[in-house]
Amino acid sequence: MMAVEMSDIAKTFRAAHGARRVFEHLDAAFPCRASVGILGPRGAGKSTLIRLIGGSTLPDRGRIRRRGTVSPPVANTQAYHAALTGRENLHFVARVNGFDGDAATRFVADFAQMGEEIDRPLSSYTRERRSRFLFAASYALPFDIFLADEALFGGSGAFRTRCAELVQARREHATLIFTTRSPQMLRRFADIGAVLHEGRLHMFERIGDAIRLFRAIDDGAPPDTGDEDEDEEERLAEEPFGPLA
Amino acid sequence: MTFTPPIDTPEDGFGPRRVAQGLRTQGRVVIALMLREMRLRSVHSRLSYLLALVEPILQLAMIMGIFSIIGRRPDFGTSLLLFLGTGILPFFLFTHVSGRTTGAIRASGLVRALAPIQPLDIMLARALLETATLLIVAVLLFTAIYAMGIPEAIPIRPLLAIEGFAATALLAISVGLINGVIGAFFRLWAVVYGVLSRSLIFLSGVFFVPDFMPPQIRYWLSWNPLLHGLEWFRSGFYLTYPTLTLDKGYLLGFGLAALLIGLALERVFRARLI
Repeated sequence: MMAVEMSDIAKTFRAAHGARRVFEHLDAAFPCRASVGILGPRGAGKSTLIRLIGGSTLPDRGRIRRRGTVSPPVANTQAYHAALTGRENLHFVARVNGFDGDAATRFVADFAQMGEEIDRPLSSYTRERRSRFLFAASYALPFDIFLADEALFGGSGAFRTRCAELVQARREHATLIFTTRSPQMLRRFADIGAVLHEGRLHMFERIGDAIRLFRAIDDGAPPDTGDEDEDEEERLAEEPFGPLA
Repeated sequence: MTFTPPIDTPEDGFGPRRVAQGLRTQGRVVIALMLREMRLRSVHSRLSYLLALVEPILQLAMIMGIFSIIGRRPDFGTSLLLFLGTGILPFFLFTHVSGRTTGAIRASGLVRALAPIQPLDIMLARALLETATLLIVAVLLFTAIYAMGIPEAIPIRPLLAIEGFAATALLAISVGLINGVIGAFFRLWAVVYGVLSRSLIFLSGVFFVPDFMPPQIRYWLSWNPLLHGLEWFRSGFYLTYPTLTLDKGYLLGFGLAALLIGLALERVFRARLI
């Protein structure tokens, strides 16, 4: 069973200085309950691929078939409103997807150790609190397919460790599709390795093969040693919560 | 495991069960959006939503004040207040619903933030919330007029008034969908449409009875669909109200045609609606 099947996808972005074709004939299939890590150099279209799978960008041509509910990309703030409280935002996202908002709120309050702050507007959160809320909220609902663009887990200190454990736990029951530029992340979280290069997605049963191909393509790739899951979630933490009221 | 495919999932089969499932998803999404919208309107002050209810009533009071100063008599019936009230309510229903839907997509900031939410849901949520608000306004307004000692404020043929309200709402929501798509491309459209739709107050029979107009003018006025909605609604309050001009088929046909055009526009421009 395939969780997501993409066939003959074409996608062009109209920019100020001419069109940029990201995909011409992209075909891809992501199996159910598997974790697929997608490696790719900058500008390969990783973010576009995630947005296409999640439906936040529509393809110019081709079909995308999804089986089950799809989460917004992890730590994405677009669905949240800064003037609403954490609880209200969670209830909204849960209601739209047909899930239990109370259970999600309890989970987030507990996991991110928020206490009463869950009932304050998101705009009043500190940076650390905001990032904890975002990551806990991303995994609070029982989606069938989780998507992540670069940031898979975040926060700092003990929360960071627990958050990584949470991702591993979700992997057991759901499909996970994430992009990264770090081979280390692939080894930790992926069952299947994939490399996005020149509009094609190459999939490998063995993670090592994917990493080898990625290294051959991307000269600037960081070495495979050392702990470098520092990723780019810092960049996300800077983003404001959607439009301010 | 729950199984709720997003709306754009190509389905394996097609049947009543799938349609029912799709409708349930859409209903859930629209209701969630309506609740959020209602909550967001009262972010700055808890009074702001109440103000939305009172606004049409205040505007009516102002027009009433001007008309009583210049000593105008109602064109029909004995109460100027009721005559204007029955005219201004369908007018407000139309302008508020179709006008507020214009900026709905941009204002929500939610386009494609979550897989089940489509631009159509965002426009529908706002249009339906505004319709519900105007329904509450209608009840408040006519209760207030009744309390001022005008017993005719309780519609004598309630079914006609309800039908008129519903038909006008259909027209307003349909035109709102078209506006919503245009408004997603041209920001200025909200202003242009605001001016245009407000000028309809002089062409829709708020201040006069269309049947009492000269035939030539009556003919030109009858092209305005809102005028028919107003006539329909008003005829529910007066037993002997002349409805020679009223063409229910035209109003419903116009509403349905606009609905189809609105849905088609949304489908054609779906990928580019921001």
